[in-house]
Amino acid sequence: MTDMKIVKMAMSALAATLFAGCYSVHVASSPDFSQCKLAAEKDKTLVGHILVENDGLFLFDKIPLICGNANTASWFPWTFFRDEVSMEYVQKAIVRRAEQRGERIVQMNAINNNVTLMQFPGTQGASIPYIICHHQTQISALYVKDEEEPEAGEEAGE
Amino acid sequence: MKIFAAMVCALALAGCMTSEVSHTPDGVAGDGDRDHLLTVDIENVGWYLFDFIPIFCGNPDGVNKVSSCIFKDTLTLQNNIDELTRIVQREGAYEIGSIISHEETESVWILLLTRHGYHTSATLMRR
Repeated sequence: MTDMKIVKMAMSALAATLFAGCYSVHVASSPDFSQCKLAAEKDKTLVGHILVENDGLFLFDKIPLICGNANTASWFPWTFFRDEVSMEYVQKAIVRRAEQRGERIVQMNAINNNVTLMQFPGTQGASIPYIICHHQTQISALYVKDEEEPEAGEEAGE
Repeated sequence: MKIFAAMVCALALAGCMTSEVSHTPDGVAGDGDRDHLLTVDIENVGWYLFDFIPIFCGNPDGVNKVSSCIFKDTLTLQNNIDELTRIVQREGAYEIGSIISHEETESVWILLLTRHGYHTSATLMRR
């Protein structure tokens, strides 16, 4: 193996280590579906949509090496040797937001993507499966809230 | 030079926002006794340098027009939901069956050039 090849592999391994674990939360709030109701929750108002994702690198598909840090209170974006790509960790942000705002979670859906053939530059065509694996979990959900009841005055007026 | 120009064109075309609505054929009941079932798929795609510098992203104001925003990150869940809102109003939907979102990522040389795509799909009911 040439020196250049080793440098390339080392650089890509470093880049993968730095950027592999990434925990992100995307929220779309206040959708204006004024005339629309959720089929399963007709007495509720749809107030938001959330997509949470986390990914990480695993040795032999089982041992977590580096994952995105699901603890958003922490300043450090990664965790080492702790599996935070599991659905239990990823859904934390969804549950936390619901608790804080007094909303209910409906239609929670999860997608897991696992890559067992990590391709590093310089190793094309020579990847051995299940040595370094990339795991990703995405969960999307909807938030609903009880519809506000009309005030007593309004009701009496009717 | 030609290769470079072709690559720029390919990237510019790749960053776009699209939405697709499929209607059940007339006479086919959508869901139970509902009259009409619509399936919506919204996709916003963008290219990033080193995974965080947006190069070409889909233009939320030019959906289905192969229009891109340059150096502006438009890949947000909010843009997808805003487009869904427009579709709900345009189609006159009265009920939402489900809304599901996910992200897909591809990269060249780990993170030199990264392609992100935000997908939102929904089912709507219309009379």
